[in-house]
Amino acid sequence: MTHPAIGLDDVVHQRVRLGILTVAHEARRVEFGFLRATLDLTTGNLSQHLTVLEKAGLVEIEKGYEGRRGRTWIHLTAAGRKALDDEISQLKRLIRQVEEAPAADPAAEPS
Amino acid sequence: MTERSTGSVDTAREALSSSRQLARRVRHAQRGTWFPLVLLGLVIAAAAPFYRLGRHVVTCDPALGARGGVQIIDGGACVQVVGWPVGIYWIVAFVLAYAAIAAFYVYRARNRGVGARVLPYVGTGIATGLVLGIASAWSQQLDIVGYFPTGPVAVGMVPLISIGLALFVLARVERNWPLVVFTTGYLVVALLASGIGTRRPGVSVGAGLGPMWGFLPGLVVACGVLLLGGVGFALAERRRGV
Repeated sequence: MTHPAIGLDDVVHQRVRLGILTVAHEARRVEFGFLRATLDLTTGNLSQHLTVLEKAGLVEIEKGYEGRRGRTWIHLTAAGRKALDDEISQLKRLIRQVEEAPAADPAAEPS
Repeated sequence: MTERSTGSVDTAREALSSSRQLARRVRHAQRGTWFPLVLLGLVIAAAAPFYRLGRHVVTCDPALGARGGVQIIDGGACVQVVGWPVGIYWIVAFVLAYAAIAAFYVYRARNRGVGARVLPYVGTGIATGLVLGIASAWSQQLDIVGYFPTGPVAVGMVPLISIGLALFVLARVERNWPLVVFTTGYLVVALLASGIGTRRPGVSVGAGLGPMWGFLPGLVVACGVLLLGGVGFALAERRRGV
C-alpha cells in the first residue's frame, strides 16, 4: 500500500485551493467576492489560485453582469468534486495510519 | 512516531479542521430558514376563511348523519364539511408561497454571493402540498376514501403535514439540525392541535367555538409555532452576524 502522502494532489493539497474547493463544494455556485472575503485573500491572489484550479479542470468560472455590476461565479466541476473527496479521504487515511502505527522504541532511536 | 510524521499529521488535521470550519461558514451564509417559516405561518392563517366557507349547517338525523359530505355532529347540530374551497386555496397558496420562497433564496444568493440548492425543497413543498391537498379535499370524488384519511380532521391536518414534510427536506438541503428538531416539534403540535386521537376533532380543542369554527385552534397553533420558529431562526441568524 502506498503512503497516503503520495496520493495527495499538489494542485488540491494547498491551503487556499483546498479552501476554494471546499467552499465551492458546499455552495451550488459561489461568487468571487464571497470567496475573497471568506478566505481573506487579495483579488490578485485569489485570481491566481482560481486560474490554477480552472486549468486543472476542477472549477468552472462564469463571468457575467447583474445590472451594471460585473460578477464572477465559480462552480465546482465533477472532477473538482472527485479531487476534493480524494484529498479529504487521503488526509483522513494519513491521520489514521500515523495514529495506528506502533510507537517507536526510544531505545532504538540513534543517539 | 517520527517528528516528520507528527508534523504531517498535524498539517492534515489542520487542513481537515479548516475545511470543516469553512463548510460551516458557507452553510450559515446559505441559510434563510426564517423566511419560509414566517411565510407559511401567514399562509396557514390566511386559510381560515376558506375552512369556514366549506362548513354548512344542515338538517339531519344525528343518528343517520347528513348525506353527501363529511359531517360533524355536535350537540344535535349537523355540520357538513366540503373540502373544495380550502382545497383550491391550498393549491394556489402553496404554488405562490413556494415560488416566493424560491425567489427569496435566489435574491439572497445574488446578494450574498453564495448559492443554495433550494429546488428540492420547493419541488417537495409544491408536490406534497398538491398531492395531499387534492387527495384530502376531493377524496370522495377521487374514490380514495378507503385509502386516504378523510373528514374534517384530514382536511385540516394534511396541509399542515405537507408543510412539515417539506421542511424536513429544507433541513436536509441546509444541513440544519435545529430545523429538524423544530420541524419534529411543529408536526407533533400541529397533529395534536388538529385533534388527533380525540372523538370530536377540532371541537374538543376549540371548546366553545362550536363545529363551525372548530378548525380554528389547529390553524392558530400551527401558524403560531411557525411564526415563532421564524422569529427564532431570524434572531439566531442575526446573532451569528451572517
